[in-house]
Amino acid sequence: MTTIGAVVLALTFTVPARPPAATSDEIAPEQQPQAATPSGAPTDPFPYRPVCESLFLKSTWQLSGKQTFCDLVQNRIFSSTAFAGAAFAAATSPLWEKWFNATNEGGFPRRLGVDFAQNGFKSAGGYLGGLVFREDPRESPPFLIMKKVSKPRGFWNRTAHAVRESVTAYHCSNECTTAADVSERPALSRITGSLASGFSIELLSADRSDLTRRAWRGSAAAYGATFANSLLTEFKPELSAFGGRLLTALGIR
Amino acid sequence: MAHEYRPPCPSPTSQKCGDALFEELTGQEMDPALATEGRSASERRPYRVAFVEFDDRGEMFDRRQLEDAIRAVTSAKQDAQTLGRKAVLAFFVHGWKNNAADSSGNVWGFRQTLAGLAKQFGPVHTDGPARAPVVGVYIGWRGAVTNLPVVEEITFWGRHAKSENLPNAHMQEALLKILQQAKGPNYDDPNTIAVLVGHSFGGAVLESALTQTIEDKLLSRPMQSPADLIIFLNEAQEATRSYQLIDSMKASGLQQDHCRARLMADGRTRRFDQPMIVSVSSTGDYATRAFFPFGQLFLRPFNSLRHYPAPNSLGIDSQRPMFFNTTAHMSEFQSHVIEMYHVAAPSKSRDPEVVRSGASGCVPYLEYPDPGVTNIHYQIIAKPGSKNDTPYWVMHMPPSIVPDHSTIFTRNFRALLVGLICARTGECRPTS
Repeated sequence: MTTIGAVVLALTFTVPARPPAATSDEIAPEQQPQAATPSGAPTDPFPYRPVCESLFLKSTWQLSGKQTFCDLVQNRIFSSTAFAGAAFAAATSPLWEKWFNATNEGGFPRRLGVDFAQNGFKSAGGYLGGLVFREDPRESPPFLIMKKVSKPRGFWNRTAHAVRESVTAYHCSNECTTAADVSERPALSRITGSLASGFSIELLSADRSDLTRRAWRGSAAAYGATFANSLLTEFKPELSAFGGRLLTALGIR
Repeated sequence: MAHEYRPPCPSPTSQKCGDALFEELTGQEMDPALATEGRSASERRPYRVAFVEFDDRGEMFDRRQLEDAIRAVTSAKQDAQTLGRKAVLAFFVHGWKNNAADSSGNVWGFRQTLAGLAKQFGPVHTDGPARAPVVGVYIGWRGAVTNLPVVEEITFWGRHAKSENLPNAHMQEALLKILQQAKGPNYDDPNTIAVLVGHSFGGAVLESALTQTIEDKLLSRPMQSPADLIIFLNEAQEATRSYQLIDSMKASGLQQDHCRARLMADGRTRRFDQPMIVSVSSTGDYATRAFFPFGQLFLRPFNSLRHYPAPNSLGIDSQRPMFFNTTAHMSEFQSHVIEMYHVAAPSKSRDPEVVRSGASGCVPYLEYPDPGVTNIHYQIIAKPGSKNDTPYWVMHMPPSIVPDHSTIFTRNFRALLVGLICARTGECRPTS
C-alpha cells in the first residue's frame, strides 16, 4: 500500500522533460494543427491556466473548491516546509519530553511520522473548518486590496496586528467587487485545525495513558504555533536583518 | 504531459507567424490591482510573447523559435511606430524549479508582467486593429525536473550544473540576435526599450552570457550597454563572477556618482548616472542567503580559493566570502539601499544607512508609492561609503517587494520594475 502511495505521489509531482520541438516519431505541440483556432487569430491562453500552480493560488481573486483542495495538499500537507517542520520537531522533541516530563514516542523515524501526520490532521481540520465557516484559507487574500489597508507602525502596534491576523480570517461574498463584500471574521478554522492536531494523538500515540489531557494540551500548542507564525511573518524583515548581522559577526558571511 | 499551449502558428514558415504570437490576457484576477480598477470592463492588455528553449547541453531545441521571437520583436516595433510610442522588449531567463511549460508559474508570471507593461507602455485604447508594442521573450530550460516535496530541493546541484551549460554559443546567439533586432546593430536605437531579467540560476546564465559583450563594450566610448536595463533578481551565482565585471568597470574608468544628479548641458535639468545592471535580492530570500552558502560547502573541496595580498577594489581580502555568497547578499558589493518607509513619519522608520546617506547629501534616485498599501513608500538611495561606484548597482530589497526566492512576480516588484524603467529611460506614464 505504501509503495503504491509512493508511486502515485511520484507520478503526481514529477515534471516531464520538455520534449524537443520535433523528433522522428512524435509531433511537438507547436506543430500540431490548431483546429479550434482560426488561422492566425490571437488566442487567449487564460482558460488553459494551471489553476493549482502557486502563482494562481496566491493571486486568484476567490479560490475555487479545486484550488482550495490543491492549497491543502500542495502547500499545507505535502510541502517542503511541512517536512522540514516535522523533521525539526522530531529532532528536538527529546528536549521537550525531558523538560515537560512528557511521554517518549520512540525513535526519530516514528516521531517524524507522528509529527508529519499531526500536521496533516491540523491542515485537514483547518480545511474542513474553512469550508464549514466559509473562510478564505489564505492569510492575505488578494481581494483585501479593495479595503485600502495601511501598515501599522511601531513594535506594539505591529504585535497587535500580528495577533489579530492570527485570530481572524476573511471572506468575500457575492461578486466580490467592492470593499463592502469583504468581511473579517473569527478564524474558527484555525481552532478546528488545532483541535484536529491535538486529538490526532488518539490515533497516533502508542501511549494510551491520559490521552484527553494530552490532546487538549496538544491542541493548545498547535494553536499557539499559529500565533508564533504570525509574529514571525510580521517581523520577518527585522529578523532577516538580524540573522544577516549575526552571520557576519560570526564570520560566516 | 501538462497542457502545452503555444500561440497558434499557421505554418512554421509563415510570415504571419510573428503576428500569431499576439496574445491577450483577459483573466482579470491575474492582477488584483487592475481587477480593482475595472473588473467588469472588458479591458484588454495586448502584448506578444515568444519562447526560446534550450536543452540540458545548452542547445536550442528548435531554431524556428528564435526566428519567431525575432519576428515578434519586428512586429512590436512596427506597432510601436504606428502608435507613435517606444517598443518595449522584456527578456526573461527563469531559474530553478521552472521551465517553459504552461504548467510553470514563471510562464504565467511573465505573461502577467507583460500585461502590466502593456498597460503602462501600450496603447491607451485598442479601437481598430490591435497594436502591441510590448513583446516578451521567455528563455526556457530544464530548471524543473520534479515537483515532489523535499526531492525537488535536492535537485539544486544538478540543475545548477546544467544551468552552467547554457551561456554558450546558442544562448549568446539568441540573446544578441534578439537584442540587435530590438536595439539595432550597435544597441543604440532609442525607439526600443530593452529590459533583460534573469532570476536565480537564470540570473547567473544571463550574467555569464552577457559578460563577453559588456567587456567588448567597456573599451568603447561612449560606452553603449546592450540593453537599457539588465536585472539580476535573487541571482544564485557566487559573487566571484560579478566581482570580475565590477572590477573591470572600475578599471575602465566607469565610476559614477551614485549620490547626486549631474547638471545637464542645458544648465537646467539634472540627471543621475544610470545603472547598466541592477542586481537585487530580497532579504527574505533564504534560498540564496542561507541555502546557497550551504550548497557551496560541498563544492569547496574542489575549488582553490586564494587570499589577496592586499584588499581588492571592493575592500575584500579573500575569495572565500565571494565563493560562499551571492553578489547582492554581500555588503561590500552593495551600492544602494531600497528603503520602505511610512509616509506619515518617515524619519521614525529610517534605515540607519539611509540616514547616513541623507546626512552626506545624497538624494534618492527613485521614489514610488506601494501600489497596495496607502501609507507606504519606497526609495532607492546610494549606500554611504560604498566602494562599488560602477554602473553595476547592487542592493537588497525588503520582503514586502519580493517575499522569498521564488515568489517574484508580485505587484510590488512590477512597480519597482516600471519605476526603474521610468527612471532609466525617462519613459514614464501614469497607469490610468
